[in-house]
Amino acid sequence: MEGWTSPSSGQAAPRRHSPAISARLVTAKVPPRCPHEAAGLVVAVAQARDRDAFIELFTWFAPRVKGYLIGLGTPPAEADDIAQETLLTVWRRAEAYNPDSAGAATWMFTIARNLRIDAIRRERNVLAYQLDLRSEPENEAADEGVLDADRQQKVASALACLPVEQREVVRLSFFLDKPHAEIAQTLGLPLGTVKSRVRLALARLRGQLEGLH
Amino acid sequence: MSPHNHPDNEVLFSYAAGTLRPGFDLVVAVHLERCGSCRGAVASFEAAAAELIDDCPPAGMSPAALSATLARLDDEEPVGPPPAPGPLSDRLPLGRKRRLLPGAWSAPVKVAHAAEDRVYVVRLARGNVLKHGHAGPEFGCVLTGSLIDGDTVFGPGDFMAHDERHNHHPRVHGDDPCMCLFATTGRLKVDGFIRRVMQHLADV
Repeated sequence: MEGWTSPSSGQAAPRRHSPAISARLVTAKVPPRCPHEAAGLVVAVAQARDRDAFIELFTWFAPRVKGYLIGLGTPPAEADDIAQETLLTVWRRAEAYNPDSAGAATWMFTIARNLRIDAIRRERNVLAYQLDLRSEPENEAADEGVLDADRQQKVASALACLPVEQREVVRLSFFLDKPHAEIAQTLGLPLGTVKSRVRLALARLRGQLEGLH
Repeated sequence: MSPHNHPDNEVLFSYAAGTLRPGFDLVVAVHLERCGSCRGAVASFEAAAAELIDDCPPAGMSPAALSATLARLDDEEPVGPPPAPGPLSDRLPLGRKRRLLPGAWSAPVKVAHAAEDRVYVVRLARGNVLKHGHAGPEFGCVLTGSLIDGDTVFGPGDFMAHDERHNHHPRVHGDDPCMCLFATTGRLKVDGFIRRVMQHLADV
């Protein structure tokens, strides 16, 4: 069953592959950083208001947030603003980050995601109340028999073990928010194959942490 | 008691990725409050999403972005985590209640949603049947009481997903009234003239 994903992203789809954006993506020089080092940088910001650590976080994360937002149909200028706001929020809330409860990359991702959702809600202009639907992972207790601190590492290994084609359909489904039919057409695969790859990949990601595999 | 009926992994991943339709994400959030297993899955999918961001092509920031952000840092006061609010299901901002039948009402939930969607709470009394089909997907979560649909009983926290291929007739299970939160794409297709008039009045 499909049709329950945000309609705003679909409408903006044609913007995704404009030649101007593709050219900029190719020339963007971003020093690669391992997301697993990010925790130390966030802690440095929290404890010492360390600007150099902040600049490192910004350099690594802001362009990725912007790429994620553009992939989901946010216009580039707005994506730039939300990416800046994400990093400002990281600065402001660094002390609330608990390295034992979630990976720093996950924590920062949820901040970016929530800012994007807030922006969509503002656009719709029908919001009478702000419901605080979402919280960062540190406020949520989950019971899948896994320590949150281990989760990022386990998920990273689970992802690394996924067959490339499963990882790719997951990325296309959720980060470009493409319907399965469109992915099937792009990859030249039968629709059923795409659906089963998504199902398998998610079951494996989840199963890895529940000790089922 | 933990819920028995859950969103599937694709719905949970879309929630984690932030791409569920506004309003539909509220229904999932209400289920998550009561379901540790699904919260765990969402936490895993959030971690996966954070990893997958690395697979997405980064987009160059505007030339002034870093300096503009650095210039704003001095104005920022560090803040701690916000105080934990009460359960979401107790804080749903309801609009005016519309009476459907004796003891039964519906009320829109005032959250952002697409114009063609409906997000509402419905309260049903003992013996009431919610007879309807859908023009599109529907997410629901039982808040209190329980419903029975075919052989399946949906209790508090249980998640329900249907699409336009389903005509279903859940009815209140047991003696207690039942309250549910629903998000629906398009208006419900209700059987019968009287019911259609009721639907019009209830705006669902």
